[in-house]
Amino acid sequence: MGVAVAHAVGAPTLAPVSGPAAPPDLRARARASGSLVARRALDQPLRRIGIGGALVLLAATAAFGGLREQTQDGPEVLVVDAPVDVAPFELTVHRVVWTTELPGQYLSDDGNRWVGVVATVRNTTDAGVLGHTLRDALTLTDVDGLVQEPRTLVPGVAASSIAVLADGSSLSPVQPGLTYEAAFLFEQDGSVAPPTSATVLVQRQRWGTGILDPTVSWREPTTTLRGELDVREARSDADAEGGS
Amino acid sequence: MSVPDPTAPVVPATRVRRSRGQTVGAAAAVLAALAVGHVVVSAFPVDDRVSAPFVRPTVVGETVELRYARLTAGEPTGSTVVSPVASSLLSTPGVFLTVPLTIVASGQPRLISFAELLGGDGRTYTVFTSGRSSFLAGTAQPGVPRYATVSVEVPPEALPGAHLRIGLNQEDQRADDLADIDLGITQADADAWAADDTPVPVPPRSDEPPEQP
Amino acid sequence: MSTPSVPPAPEAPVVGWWRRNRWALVTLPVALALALVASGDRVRTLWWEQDLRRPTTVAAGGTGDFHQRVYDGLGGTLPIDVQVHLDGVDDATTLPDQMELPDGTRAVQVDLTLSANPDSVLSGCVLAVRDATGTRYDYVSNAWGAFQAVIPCVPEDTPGPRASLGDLDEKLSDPETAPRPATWSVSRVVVVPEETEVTEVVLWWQKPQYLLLEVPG
Repeated sequence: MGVAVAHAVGAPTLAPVSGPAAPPDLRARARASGSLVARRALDQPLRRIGIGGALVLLAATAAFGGLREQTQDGPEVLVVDAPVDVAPFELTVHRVVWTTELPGQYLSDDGNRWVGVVATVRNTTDAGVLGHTLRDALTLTDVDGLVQEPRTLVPGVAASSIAVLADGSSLSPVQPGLTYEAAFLFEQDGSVAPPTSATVLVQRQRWGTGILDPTVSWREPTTTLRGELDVREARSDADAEGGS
Repeated sequence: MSVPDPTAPVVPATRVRRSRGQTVGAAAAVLAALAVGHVVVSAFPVDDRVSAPFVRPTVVGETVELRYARLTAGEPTGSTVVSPVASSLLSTPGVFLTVPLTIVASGQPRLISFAELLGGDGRTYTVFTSGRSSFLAGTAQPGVPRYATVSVEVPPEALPGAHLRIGLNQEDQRADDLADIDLGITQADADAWAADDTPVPVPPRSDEPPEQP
Repeated sequence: MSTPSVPPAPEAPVVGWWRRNRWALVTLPVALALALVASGDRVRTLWWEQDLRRPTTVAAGGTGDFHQRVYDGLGGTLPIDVQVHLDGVDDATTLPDQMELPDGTRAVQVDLTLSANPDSVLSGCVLAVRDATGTRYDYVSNAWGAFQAVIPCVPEDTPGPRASLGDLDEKLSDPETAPRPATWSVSRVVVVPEETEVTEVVLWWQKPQYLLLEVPG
């Protein structure tokens, strides 16, 4: 099948960048096959094939939600007393208080105080989770003088302990099917004035494996809610967390 | 016929001979192999079965022989308040269930550290070595009975039909014996415990048998 | 258009599949066995070597020579070179202070005489006894109400040098104790069930190697 190729481009020369990408013998076969699509496709310069391929790929992601509208630009606003679903928990933040004395909890320095976020905690999955998963779920920021260092994986400062209001014990493990009244406790340096407002960050976690770690667990806390709350002094023992 | 142009490519005659039908058939065979492979891998829970623990069922009062120990569970009790030795009283919006266990290690000293409650509601209640739901038996000398108590915090609806699972390795129970104890709790028991606030003691682990009340 | 004609190949005798592949078939079981052994390496490292497997056996009344290089936890190794003689295993005539035996158990006293270089670190040792069925009963320093020596194989007052803990060493206080003698005796109490007959005493620093001392009588 030797067809005389009258094209000057048929000769093997260095084609300019904007010229057709396909080698001449392939283009000759496309021409000979009589398919218009094939001939047109192979006549395109490389840059156009690259751009075209990228567009086709992007369009293909539409089938998997690639063109879905992004509903939020960042964390939603945290509303007090409204339950929020942050897997694996459902948290309802009630108030933020501070106090200098909490029976059953020990400050690292006598002059320090506790800043506590009082919240209702529910485990909405079908299995108990240990306390360290709960620690990542709610963090505090915009409060000066917090003794604990901010964590690297989670924004803000994580609670040094999470106490059950009824008996002052540490909330671990968090069992499903139960509603706990708890307080996330943060220690603040006594030399700093008590806070008047604080920002509470609530994180949602993903159930799965890590890149390096094949065990299945709750990972990658992502801040989904953020709220600026007023902080006041704890009024009475009924408000503050206490041991019995 | 025109003279073949020497500059034109010479297409080997044999290449064209492969028919369209053969190509389509080959492609279909590859796709079929992928589909069959996917079905085989996903239809049967092979991974789960290969690594599943060997479950040894038993009931309260009956001794179960495990590879590493002989285990007997005593009568469970419960309340909304428990009194563990290491900490002050704990109270719960649900029920604290306590189950006394007698462990006799075999072969070599064994540290039985895994405990978990499969509630009658289908949920799994975690038990750790310390905290509000705890089990700490320590290392048991073979032949010397070790008495330890499991304490689990559960909602009352989880109690009827609950099973307690006890194993050796806390992190990994795959491919080893696992005791599954049917606690025989009725709805009446669950209701009674949910209404009770008498503190139930959780005795620490010991090699002395607990005093019979 | 003419295709080049290829003369047909001369008639070759048909050789059976079995004959053509005989060497491959011979090596197939060997290759399978090697593949199993190679892929089963974890059976050795994660199971076999996690228990007492390589004994240095000492007959009753004899003195055993035990040598091992153990990992020190900091990426290096420490040499263990010790001679051990089992003086006897008997019912404990006096229980350690405050020990209370549970019902159905008895206390056996293990007497050992050891010699080693006073500068060598021997702190990671574990002591146990075994009976005829192979069941192992460990020495536990803090159990059944008593507090015995934490390290069973060295004297309580002069344990000798302890293993380095890397960066922690400068934070730990250096106890001023006399050096460990070149030869010393220890006497440790192990609690076993009443009917147990102790037939062996085992001593190890790092599994799978261990020292097995047969009990006389």
